[in-house]
Amino acid sequence: MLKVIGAVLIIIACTGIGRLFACKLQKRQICLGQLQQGLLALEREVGFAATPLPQALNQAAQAAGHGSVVFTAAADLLVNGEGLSAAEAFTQSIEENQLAISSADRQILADLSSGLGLSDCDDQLKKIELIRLRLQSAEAEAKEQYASWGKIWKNIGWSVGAILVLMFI
Amino acid sequence: MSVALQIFPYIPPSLRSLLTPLTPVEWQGLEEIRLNLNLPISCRFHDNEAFIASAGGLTDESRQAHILNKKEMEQCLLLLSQSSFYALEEELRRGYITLPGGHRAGLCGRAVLTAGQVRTLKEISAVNLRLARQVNDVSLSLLPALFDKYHNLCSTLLVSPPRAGKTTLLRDIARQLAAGSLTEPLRVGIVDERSEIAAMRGGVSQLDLGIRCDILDGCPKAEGLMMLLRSMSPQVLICDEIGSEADAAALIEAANAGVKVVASAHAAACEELADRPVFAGLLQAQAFQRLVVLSRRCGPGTVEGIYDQNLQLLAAGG
Repeated sequence: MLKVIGAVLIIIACTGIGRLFACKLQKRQICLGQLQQGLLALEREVGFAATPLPQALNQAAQAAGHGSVVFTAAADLLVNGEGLSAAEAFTQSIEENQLAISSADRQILADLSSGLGLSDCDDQLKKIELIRLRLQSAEAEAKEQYASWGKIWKNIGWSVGAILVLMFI
Repeated sequence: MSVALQIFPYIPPSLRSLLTPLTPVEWQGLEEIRLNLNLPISCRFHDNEAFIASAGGLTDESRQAHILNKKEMEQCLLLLSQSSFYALEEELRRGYITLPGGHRAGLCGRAVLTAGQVRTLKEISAVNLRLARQVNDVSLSLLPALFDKYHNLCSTLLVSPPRAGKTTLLRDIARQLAAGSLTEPLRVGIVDERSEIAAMRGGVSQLDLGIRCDILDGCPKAEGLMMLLRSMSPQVLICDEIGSEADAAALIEAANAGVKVVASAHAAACEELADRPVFAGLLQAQAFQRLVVLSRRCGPGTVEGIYDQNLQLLAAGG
């Protein structure tokens, strides 16, 4: 009886680990998509309403789902009156808040911070759009990665569990 | 909220500690904080000037004054703009930013021109924080002189050099007329091109103008006067610092439409106005029945004289 319970636990644990890896890949894809939605909202606020950055970032956060924390933290840093530039606030926000994205994706976001808020509207829009397009490419890559590796991780999980059980029996 | 609390968020953190030792009386009299790159920071009061000392507080010695460095200037600009220069393109073109509470940050730098017109400012070298204070009932002693013997309001032009209290007086006149202090309440339309009279922010007036004022914020005066005339059926139109031919034409149009106008202009005396073509035309058209000359002789808002449309002195100031 104990052997059966142990075998079931091993299979469940290995399946869980496999699914965790698959889930991580899926989360990255979703997060990149939501960050793009946030940047689209930021573009709208900057381009159409010339909304100042703290408010524009808060608006972007509402559209950014899991990525919202980066925008709200940067907005909070800007309004706390310590004279931080938008670049410093955004960089600090990216460093302090963990998102389900890779370090390469994080670098794309960090590139947005350089010169943020410090030029005219057209220049700002070009900059945000460029970052959004780079995130779009990263999302496409993440989607592909999930399609190929997601199933593999899930299958590897329970397969390894089954092999381990067979080895122990 | 005190002026200090309103203005501190726009001052670099390193300078806030230097301003903290200022007494409430000093804050009360403070009119301007002038931040010039690589120069001592100066404070202008009603009747004197002092520098911000490196050790904090005020000093008369420029050698003991704190020198504004580049980082502090950059921080100040970031705080004034909320790190959003793109949102201030119009303000940079005009050369000032309106802050909550009606305060204003005047900017100097290098002008960037497009087709001969100022497009924006860059390399900002000076920021002048002008502190706004609403002085209620300041116009009460003047107001009776602005009505004729039939108790009708006369179109009025307030005349003075800068910093003599024109806008403060204009604001209080608007408030008193709308409240009906002397006659029945009047519908007042304000064209606040420079956001100085009402200091609108987010659609809300930062200064008390009563309940019967329609405020057209940031709109050029000539266009704004016509817009208010057509859309809000005002009995009185108010605008600050007229000076162009278009302003004059709009004022004459408003006067001919049966609306009273209360406006202000820069000049030291009525004679100076008469020498300027724009005002000569307005005086000739008798667009104003009252001209009030102001100065700072006994503090801002000192009335030097009240004249009629023929520039005859009706009442001398004291």
